[in-house]
Amino acid sequence: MKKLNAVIFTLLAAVFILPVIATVALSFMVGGMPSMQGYADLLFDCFVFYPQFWNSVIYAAVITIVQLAVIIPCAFGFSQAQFKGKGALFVSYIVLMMMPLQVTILPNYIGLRDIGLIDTPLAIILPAIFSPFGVVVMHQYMKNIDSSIIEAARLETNSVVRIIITGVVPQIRVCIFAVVLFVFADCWNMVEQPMLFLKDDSLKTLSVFIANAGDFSGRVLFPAAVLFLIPVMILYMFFNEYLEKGLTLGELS
Amino acid sequence: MKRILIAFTVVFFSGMLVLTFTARSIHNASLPHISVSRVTMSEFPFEYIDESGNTQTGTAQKPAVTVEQYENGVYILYRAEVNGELRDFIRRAEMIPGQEYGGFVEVVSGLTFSDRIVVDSDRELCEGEVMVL
Repeated sequence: MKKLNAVIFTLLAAVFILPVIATVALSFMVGGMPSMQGYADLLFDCFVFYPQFWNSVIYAAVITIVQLAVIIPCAFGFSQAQFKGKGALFVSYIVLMMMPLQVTILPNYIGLRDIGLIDTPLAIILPAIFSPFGVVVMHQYMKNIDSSIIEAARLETNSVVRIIITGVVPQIRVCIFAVVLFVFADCWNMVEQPMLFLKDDSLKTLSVFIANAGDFSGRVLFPAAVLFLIPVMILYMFFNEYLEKGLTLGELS
Repeated sequence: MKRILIAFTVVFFSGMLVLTFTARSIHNASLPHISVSRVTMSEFPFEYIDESGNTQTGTAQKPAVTVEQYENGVYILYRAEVNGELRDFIRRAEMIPGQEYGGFVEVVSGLTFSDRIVVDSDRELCEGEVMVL
């Protein structure tokens, strides 16, 4: 039975990894022959690629860092503070998290247009900072942290920020890494927001470059897809050991 | 393993940073560099009969290219969008020549005054090639 399971899961894993392998293999082929011409065309003849690559890096990094600064206190508040309507507020977070992007993107657009942020980097960064996903995951994790450490920190200081930094963050380090990975990957992959909120090509992201592959020479598509994969792969390899632990509730060191 | 990963990350992002600033220069260095100008006007002689019936010779300004340009092929510069940006390309003009005089060849048709033609290049030109001005 175990062997059968192993075979089934290996086959499933192979099915999932196949598009990635095909993308990498096709990036080294031009006209059915092995060639690096696609990479040469992308790197030395397709200059729109570079600003869009760095835009993706900057947007994803800024969103991830600022989102952490928002979600940690927010999740701490949900897990530790007692206030009226806490349950209802948390349910609204979950509902918001469950909503498909297509439902929220139009209100976001209207809001950004009315405050004059359309076609600026803030149009991408600002709505993404307040994503409920990290709050929900971190709240679930924080419910199980050692409250005696927080109590001890409270005796030393009244500052909530210091309590979070000294008493909470070290305990939820694993969860932070997992959330960083998810948030970064989510921001890295976003397509609809840059397409809708940005008109200037120099502000758009690499995901838009790949989505608009028809505008470019066909040979650059697969090399661009491979380079698009690398930053997220790097981040995953840095944090993969924390991923499972971070999403497993109550598994604290 | 971690060290290899850190080294790969540094190499990848450094490489991308260096390419961001140098890729265009590398690309331009591999392309022919050309100079262009508008179609020039040159004086060409023509004969006419005056009021007393004698044949006279006069001159008229007509669009022209140099004999050397005509012999090497007249290339017109045009712009087209490739890979998300406008680039300069050349195509060979199907010019019908008129008379030759003073080192110039008259353009009967195939070129207009708005055309920018290649007057100098650092290498041999090919139809449909991308150029750097």
